[in-house]
Amino acid sequence: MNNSTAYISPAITVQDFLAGGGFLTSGSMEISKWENEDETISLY
Amino acid sequence: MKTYISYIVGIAALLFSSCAKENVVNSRPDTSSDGFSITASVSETKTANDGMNTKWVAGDRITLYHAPAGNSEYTKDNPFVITEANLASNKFTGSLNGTIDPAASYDWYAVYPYTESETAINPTCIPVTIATSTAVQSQVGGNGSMSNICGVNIPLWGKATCDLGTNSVNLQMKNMAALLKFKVLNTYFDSDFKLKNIWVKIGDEAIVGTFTVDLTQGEPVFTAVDAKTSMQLDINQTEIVLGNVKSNGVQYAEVYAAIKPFVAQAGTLLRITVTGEVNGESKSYENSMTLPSAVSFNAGKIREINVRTTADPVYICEADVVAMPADLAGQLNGASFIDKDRLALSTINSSNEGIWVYSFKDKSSVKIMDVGTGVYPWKIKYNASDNKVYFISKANGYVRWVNPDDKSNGYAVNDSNGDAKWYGADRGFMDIEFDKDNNMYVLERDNYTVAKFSKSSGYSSDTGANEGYFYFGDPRKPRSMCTDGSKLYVATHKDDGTESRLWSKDLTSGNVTTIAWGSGNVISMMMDAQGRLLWANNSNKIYRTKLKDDGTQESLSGIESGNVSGWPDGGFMPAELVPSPDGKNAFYIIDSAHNKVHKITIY
Repeated sequence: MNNSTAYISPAITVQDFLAGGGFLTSGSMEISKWENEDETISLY
Repeated sequence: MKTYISYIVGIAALLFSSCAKENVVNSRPDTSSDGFSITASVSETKTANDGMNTKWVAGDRITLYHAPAGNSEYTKDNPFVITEANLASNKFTGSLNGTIDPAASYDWYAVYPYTESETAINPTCIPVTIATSTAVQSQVGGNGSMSNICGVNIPLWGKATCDLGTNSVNLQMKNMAALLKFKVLNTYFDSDFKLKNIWVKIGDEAIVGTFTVDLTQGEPVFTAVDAKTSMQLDINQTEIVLGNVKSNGVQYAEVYAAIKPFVAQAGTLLRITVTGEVNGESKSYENSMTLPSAVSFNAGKIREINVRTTADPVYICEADVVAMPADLAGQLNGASFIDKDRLALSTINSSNEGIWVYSFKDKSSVKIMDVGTGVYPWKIKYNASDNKVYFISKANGYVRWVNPDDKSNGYAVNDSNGDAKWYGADRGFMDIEFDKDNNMYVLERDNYTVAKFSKSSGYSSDTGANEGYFYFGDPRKPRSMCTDGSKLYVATHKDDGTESRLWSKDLTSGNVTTIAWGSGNVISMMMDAQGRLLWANNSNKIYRTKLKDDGTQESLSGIESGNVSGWPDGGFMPAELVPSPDGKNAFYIIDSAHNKVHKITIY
């Protein structure tokens, strides 16, 4: 590995990288789950 | 010399902590680039919702920014997009702009949805829409479904700080909106309710519409652009019909709406109007309250708000929650909870008179004390301070106690020689209460008074003689009483039927007030955990009201067969009313005519 060059995630292959014009990247993002508040407001 | 390079970035959220170390692979050699154009659809795609999970939809795009850590020189990157093939792995593809030092740490900001706004050149001023720009949201899914929130704008954001030399950018995307979960109770007693919309206003806060958001302050900071201070959730893409209380019991709708997160301070007026159709006619009811303390509507969290369709309370009766032995029919009279599981009961006017404990857990009763025959242990009261069930003998005029655990027993009121004091039948002992200091009060119907026995004197002092502690005078006969610990509430009547009256006496100041006039003979009273006074007369009617500090009371509610779902068949004698031991809005009726106990829950 040459740290003086650019980096991509290990999740992407070199072929993907090249097919993307050399700049296509890949990653993932998870979305936080909704959570219930502990207390309820009751209007009655 | 520092080498600047072009780069490709993997954004990995994931199970690792932010900026976890990860192997990287060499890519393009040293160049600079403006990236390239993504050809993915630019249509506004909404994330989908699956219960408490939010999921990406193919075509979802995010905006990415980066800047040297702690620096405000932001670079806006090209859109990152997720394809159908990458949905399962939550992978986005895209490219960055500018140059980057792989050994340097950067702040990374991601925002969904992608914005092409020219003002969104950095994460301090990103235009977002919370819910909708028109202040109207639509419920897409049916009752209880969260699917509608995929139909409105709920922006997502994430931030991480790390370098790219040895790390991946790990981003946990968080919701920018808060959710309101309206739990709507149909309080129409014998009519179905078709929910049409819910309108909400929380003080004068701008809760939906368009804002700019600054993501660099730790939590998103919103500035209103074209925001609305009220919103409406329309139920127009699905049908939610709530059955009526009489036929269907408790009927709730659960629907969701998004708002901007904020803190509503104490004193804020919260108004929610529920509109629907009842027998084809439009009906609206506004639920409102002034918040007694601050309430946070937090991003990513769901705040449940209970509302109803009418002002009237709803009563649901669960009949026969306690059934005593059949041969005691007509004998059940006094009752008091020992704890949440155990109800102490007294039986009168039979050869089987005594004190009983019914266990809701075991669904059975045990007689813990035989009191003899013709004693009439009329009313009882459990005192937690000494773990004793106290009871009065109407026939003999004494006060006794029994320990519900070891079944030991004794007399509560003794004379100067330590002998049990019997006042005889003439005093007409018919009720017993304790105040917050555990002083004991005994209602003497035929002596027209309530006697006080102080705890400090070991209940040996007797103010019941002569005119007593709370004297009403002939011909006003006290019949039932209860206390909230600070005031004593007593019902009196005249035998000729010309007067029925409720009184209160402040146990500190001694001030006496008439709080209600009525008719009939009030035979049982209670104060519930919500501060409402309930009383029942010998015509099977129960009344409920709240006494205000200014001496007035809220409107009187009548609880009877016509407005209670599950009301037991036939008449009964409500010998005692007992508050629910769990503090919930419910009470128990001792049905002496049928030897049963019924539970009424109030909604």
